[in-house]
Amino acid sequence: MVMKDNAAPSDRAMRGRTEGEAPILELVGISKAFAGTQALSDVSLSIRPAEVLGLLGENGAGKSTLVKTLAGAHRPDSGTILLNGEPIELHNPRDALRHGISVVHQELKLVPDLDVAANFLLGREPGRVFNQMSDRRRLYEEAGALQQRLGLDLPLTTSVSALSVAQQQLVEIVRALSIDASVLLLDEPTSALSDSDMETLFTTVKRVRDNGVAVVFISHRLDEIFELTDRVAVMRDGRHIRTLPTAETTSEEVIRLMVGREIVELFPKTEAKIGEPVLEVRGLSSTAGIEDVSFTVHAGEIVGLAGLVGSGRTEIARAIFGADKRTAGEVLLDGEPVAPRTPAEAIALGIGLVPENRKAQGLVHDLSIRENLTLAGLRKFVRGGLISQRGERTETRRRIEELDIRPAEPERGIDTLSGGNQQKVIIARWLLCEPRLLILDEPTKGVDVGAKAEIHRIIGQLVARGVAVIVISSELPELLSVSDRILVMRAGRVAAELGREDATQELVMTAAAG
Amino acid sequence: MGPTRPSFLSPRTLQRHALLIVLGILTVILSLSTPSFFTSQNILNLLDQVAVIGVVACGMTVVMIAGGFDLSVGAVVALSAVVIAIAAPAGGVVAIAAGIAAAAVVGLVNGGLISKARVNPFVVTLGMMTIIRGLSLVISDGHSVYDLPSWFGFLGASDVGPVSWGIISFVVVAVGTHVMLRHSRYGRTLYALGSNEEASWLAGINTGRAKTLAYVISAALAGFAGLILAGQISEASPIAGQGYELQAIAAVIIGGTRLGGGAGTIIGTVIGALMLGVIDNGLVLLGVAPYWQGVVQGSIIIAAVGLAAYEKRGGGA
Repeated sequence: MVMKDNAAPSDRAMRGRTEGEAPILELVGISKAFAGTQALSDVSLSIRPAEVLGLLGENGAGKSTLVKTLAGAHRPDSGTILLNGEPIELHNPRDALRHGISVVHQELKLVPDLDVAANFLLGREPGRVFNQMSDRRRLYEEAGALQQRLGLDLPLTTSVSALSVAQQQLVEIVRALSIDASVLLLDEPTSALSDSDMETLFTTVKRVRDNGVAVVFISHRLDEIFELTDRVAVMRDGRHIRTLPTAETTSEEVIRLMVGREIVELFPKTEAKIGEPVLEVRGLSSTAGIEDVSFTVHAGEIVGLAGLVGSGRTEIARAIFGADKRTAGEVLLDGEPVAPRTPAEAIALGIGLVPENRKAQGLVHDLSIRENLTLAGLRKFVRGGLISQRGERTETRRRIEELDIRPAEPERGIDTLSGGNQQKVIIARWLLCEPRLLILDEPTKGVDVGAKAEIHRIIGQLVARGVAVIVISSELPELLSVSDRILVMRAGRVAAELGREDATQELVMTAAAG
Repeated sequence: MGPTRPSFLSPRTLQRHALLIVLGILTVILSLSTPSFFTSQNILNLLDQVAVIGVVACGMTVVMIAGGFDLSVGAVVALSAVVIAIAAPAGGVVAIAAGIAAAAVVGLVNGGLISKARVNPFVVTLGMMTIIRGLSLVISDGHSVYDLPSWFGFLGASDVGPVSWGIISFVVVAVGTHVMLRHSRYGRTLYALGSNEEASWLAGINTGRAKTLAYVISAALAGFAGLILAGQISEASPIAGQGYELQAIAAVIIGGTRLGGGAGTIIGTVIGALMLGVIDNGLVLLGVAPYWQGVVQGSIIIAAVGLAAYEKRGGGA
């Protein structure tokens, strides 16, 4: 039986102070090493029922390994996991599920062609005739009851592929809870969501918590951690540094614990001289749904594009870059009308695009750092029909040093790098092409605090050299501090244009939501 | 996988060396167990046979690194031989050019359908395989052409010292495709394309043209292989080259090229083709019924792919 319909949700007000409660899940001295790297060393951590524990740390701090250990995907080298005070062994993900530990991974694991209800109960569909015939009526009943408990109202008969990313995320959460989970691990559930979608997710997570479930919430974004969690555990270099009640700490303190040093300003803004217009967009429309978009970006200027996911931010970038077909309007580069039909033509004109989805659109996974870095600018190194190895290697080394890409090993496979360093390689790919206009779509998504500051520093250096820059971001504080000007998109059109001095989160959100 | 393991035993180099080691062991065993194996006559025969499949396999490597697949090459071997034989009265250069051009057109159609119309490569080249086989029968009226002019045998049957021009052609093709893949911009494009097509396109690569060109190269090399084969057997047959596509794919896979693209080397393919040749030859010399050849070949393919998958899992931990 999947559901207990009469399991009354305990009231948040009634559940008492979390400090006093006995932990449901305890890690005692967990260590794990891979091929000589100590991913976790002596981690002890307790997770309490009816609380949201935030797990923070830079990439490579050991968060993912910890989650995988709890999910039964990795076995610890030493240490004990206690569930309700009893030691348990997790040999595989099924063991974890059996103990009521459920995980929502970064990559969604839904079956896109099945409907919402079927995805809720995947692998546990109610059946009849020796369980071999599916029982549609009971499927929808149980699915309905499941989401009702979380206060959700997703369209049960719609196939998952037709849902937004945010809704898919909610489907994953409902599914994870459908096994009567007492511990729910959420591994960076918000990295693909816009601010308004996040509200829905947060409301759901809070309701899950109020139902008595222990929630572990992993995120890079401090604002989320402070909004959602009851306690925050900070990891660094595979160690658990400290756990603090969220209400009693500040983002400065948490950042200091994460990086082990002070970062004076999270998003430092470097002043650059703003010059002549580089990009002029007039009345631009595209097949991907942007309509009558006009704006200008000057040399040395950073223009931020804000808006909800699906509001047309990415589509503007793609239309300018020749990746989507333009249907109306014109684009001027340095005063000359241009009409790139493919990215290749746009690149030849001096436009670069750091795409939104690093894994799917940016990285060439089987190639090395060097090969990824020189992919768009390889033409530079060709001598007599062949690639000059010396030229390519020298330039790669120079860029690795300039952007502080780690590890500084040109021949290393790109997939072995952390998200932040992968993103730096993609940015270096465009620096090599010396663009007039660089568009960065979610450049710091899934990137840790230190790398984020460095990416901002690199953008600052670019504008100092007179490059025109467009930054697209779902993270408003970042956008507000980086941009000279902000365009707010709504339903494919520019809904507002705000100067640096006037822009506030409230104004942007109001314009974006309409 | 301890940190103490020396780097020359890393999975990747180990796999490449493992192939060579297996090939070496096979050669030694066959040399000791059959007196006729390690004779210059037999080795040259073996290499002649490997040359034809090897040239086809080099083209296949190009397509497979780019993430594609070409089942039509066996039929193209026959098409080119038949076209050259029929065009022979026009003179050697014209006839050979016509044969290779016919082959290249097949590649152009393959590539166009796959990259522009976005039809699955398996479907396109499977269909093209039967179409081209049929066309070869149509234009030759179903008969082999035997009375070939003397220049026809040049690549297949004449020698430089002890080595045939067929073997030399194979070496030239292998070196050429190797240099192209490893040292030209187009080669880098193919690896990128096979690994992540969308990222490649967004990085300014003309993916459609690159893909189409890969199929043209594969087909043209198959056409060239047809010329070598017809010279070797002094016959331009519309039913020649049957099953060559599978043997070529086998050599490429044994050589470590990733199914799905993004990784692979010509060196691996050459070793893969040699391995298949040595095994076929050895089985014959050992007196094993030829029916067993397929069984052994298939087992080796599965073992090679299984080994690669095993290493990938081990390396990913």
